[in-house]
Amino acid sequence: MHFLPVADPRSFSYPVLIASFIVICIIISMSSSWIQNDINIVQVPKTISARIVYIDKPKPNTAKKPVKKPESKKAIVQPKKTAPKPKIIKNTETTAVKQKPKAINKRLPLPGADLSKALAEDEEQMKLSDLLNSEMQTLQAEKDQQAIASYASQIKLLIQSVWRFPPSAKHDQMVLLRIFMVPTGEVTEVQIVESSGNTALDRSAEKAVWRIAKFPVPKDASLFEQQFRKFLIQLKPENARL
Amino acid sequence: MELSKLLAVSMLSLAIAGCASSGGTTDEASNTDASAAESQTQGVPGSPDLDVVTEEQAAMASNAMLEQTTVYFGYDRSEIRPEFKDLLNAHAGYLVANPQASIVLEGHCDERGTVEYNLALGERRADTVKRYLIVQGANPSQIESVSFGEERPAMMGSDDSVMSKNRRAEIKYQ
Amino acid sequence: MIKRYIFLLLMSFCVSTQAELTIEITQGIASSIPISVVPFKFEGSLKDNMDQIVRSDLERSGHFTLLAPDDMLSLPATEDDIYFTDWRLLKQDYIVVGTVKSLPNKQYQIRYQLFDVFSETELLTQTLTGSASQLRDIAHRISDAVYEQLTGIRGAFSTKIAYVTTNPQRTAFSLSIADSDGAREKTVLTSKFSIISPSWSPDGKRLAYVLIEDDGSRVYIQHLETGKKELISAQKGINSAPSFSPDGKKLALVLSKDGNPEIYVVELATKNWTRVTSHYAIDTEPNWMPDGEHLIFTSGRTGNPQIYRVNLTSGYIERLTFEGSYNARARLAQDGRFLVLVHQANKGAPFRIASLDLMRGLLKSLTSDTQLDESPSVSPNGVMVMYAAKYNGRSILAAVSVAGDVRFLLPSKNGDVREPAWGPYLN
Repeated sequence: MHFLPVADPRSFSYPVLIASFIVICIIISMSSSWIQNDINIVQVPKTISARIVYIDKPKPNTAKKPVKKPESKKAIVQPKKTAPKPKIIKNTETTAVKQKPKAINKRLPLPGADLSKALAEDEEQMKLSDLLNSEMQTLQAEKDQQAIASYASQIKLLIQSVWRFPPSAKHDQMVLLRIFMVPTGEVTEVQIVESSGNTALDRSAEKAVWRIAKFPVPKDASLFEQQFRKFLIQLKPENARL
Repeated sequence: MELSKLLAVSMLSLAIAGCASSGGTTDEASNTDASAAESQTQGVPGSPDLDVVTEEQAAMASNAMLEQTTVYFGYDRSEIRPEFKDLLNAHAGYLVANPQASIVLEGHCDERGTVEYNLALGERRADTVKRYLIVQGANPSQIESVSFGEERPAMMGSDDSVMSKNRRAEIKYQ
Repeated sequence: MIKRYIFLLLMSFCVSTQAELTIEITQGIASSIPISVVPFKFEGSLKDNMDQIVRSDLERSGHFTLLAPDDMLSLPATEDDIYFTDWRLLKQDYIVVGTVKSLPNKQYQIRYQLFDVFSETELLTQTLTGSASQLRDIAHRISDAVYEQLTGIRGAFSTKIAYVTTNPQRTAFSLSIADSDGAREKTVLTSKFSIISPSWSPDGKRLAYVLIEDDGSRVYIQHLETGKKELISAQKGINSAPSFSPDGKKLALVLSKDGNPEIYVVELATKNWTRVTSHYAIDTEPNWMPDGEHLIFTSGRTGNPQIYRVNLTSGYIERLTFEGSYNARARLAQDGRFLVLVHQANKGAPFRIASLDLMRGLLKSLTSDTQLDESPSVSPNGVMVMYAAKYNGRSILAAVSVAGDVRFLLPSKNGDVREPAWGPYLN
């Protein structure tokens, strides 16, 4: 390997330096501990803010729900035909539930026992409604995941039913498309993000999308915006002879 | 297979022994029925004459076997089958007795399988026969072998009976 | 705190697809491309129907389904005549139109165009000129261009095939060469001896072959332009199964002079011999790999014939087939990803041409209605296999695509046709 001068646009020196710098920073930031919760947040629905709440008597249901989520999702997707499950990259909220002890130790010294009792009742009420809120938010997030899985599955089945790949297609070739849709589900644009190297195969993939032209989409506008306004379809003819 | 052959041979030898021992009885019988026997038994000599006929018969049998010049093989196999050993022994015997005689062994196959592999298999069959004859005393310089693979079938056709006739080694006297 | 921000900053450099929904499709329907080759416009009649040759070529390739001219709603000859909606109605993906013009000096001028029906765009256009005897070649060149444009694979329609014909009594043999569709047959050798194992040199100028003479098999090379014959090997025992190396300078073949059939390589210029195998079992049917460093061959070393690969430098031998009671005469296909070979699943089963996917280890039969299939030979683009088969009691040539989805029989000739060898690209 012969080294080119740093200023030469063909040289690798600058990119190598920058890449090394990034890698070193990542290593530094990852080697020390920090607040764990933040790592898992990649995208949080704007309308929902999840709060982790600890109550001195933790109810078994609340604690277990997030853990159950992947299992229930699997149960829904399985009955749908023999096609392998759509791989959906999780992109909402946390899966780890951290139980933070939150001590309630404020006590207003009051003359009358009734007032303190009333206050205590008030606090109980607030705690209850907080609990209800967080439960509803978790439920909503769960429903969203199910909806995404369901629509993704429908899209996958539709495409598999019309995709005609050419005889030259090889089982290990892959074409990646980016699809642009409007809220009605109509496709407005199809881009080839990554070609398979087989132009006939690429063309057959595009044709399959245009053949369907209009996909089923979630009614929830925000869910549509986040997931289906633009998304990727990866096509691999694994059942090709070659 | 081997056991039943052994049994057959031992039965045969017992029978022959039995015949030999009862030879006397036959003679006695023929002597007692001399008049009747004579007219009948002109062609049936006593023990010494029995041997001469056997030799003649043996010579005739041997010549007959020399007429047979084809050895057949099982599918995809090149070893000599027991039923052809006598035939080959006869030919070996002839070669030993006639050192100036020479033969060419031709190996053949049926049409199943590939052309080139069959050329090799045909050679194997010819070579197996050659080795057998040499073991029986023939001089290697009297024997040449050549393979024709599936190229010169004895019979045309694809059914089993035809194909079994093509899996062969032929002895050609020069 | 700071560390967290640094991490998030760095994460934002990552590709955005990490967060984008990705749906994976892993199944579709394998289907050939529907295309129309419209009869070329010409005043008068030509000896060779050019568009019919193109239709046959594309159909035989297995990649396309051709619309019959009778089913066409119109017969356009140029772009202006094409009413694309009609063709979309007929569910055609592509259309080829053309014109033939006769020129004064007994020449013909052919112009053709290839269009994408859906987008109504021209993908290819060419004008070719030639004499009456070159019309078939021009048609095959059109097929090659259309095929390559639409599949990305080089077309093999302008190549030749060699084969042996014999009379039913097996008393006369001839080695012939024809176009890949069986047309324009030319005899290069006749003999009373059986001719087997023809092998093309990589430049298409020589054919090696074997004569099974009365006292043994012999290997020859014939120079096609001059007809000159050269004896390569006539040693004691078998001299057979010649195969040219990719550089054309060496020949692999089988000799049994050392006691049993073994594989040797001979350098043609120096007549320097190198022995490759040393095993008491049958070793035969050598075939070179494109790297010139390996041979694929058949060996009976485990009891019945299987396929092996040997590294010519190190001598290392590797077994390639493990399924079935008989695997022989392997040839490479599909850019070395596949082997095609003669295969018998178990004793008593028919002999078929099969493909072995070297990546996935899958062995599949390619033929089903012919019997006693043998001598597979692959087209230079690795897509098609030609082979000999018994059909209605006669020996004929047939071809099948390595993907196993199309099959055709070559036009029948008198007598039995065997031992096909598909020639190389000719430029």
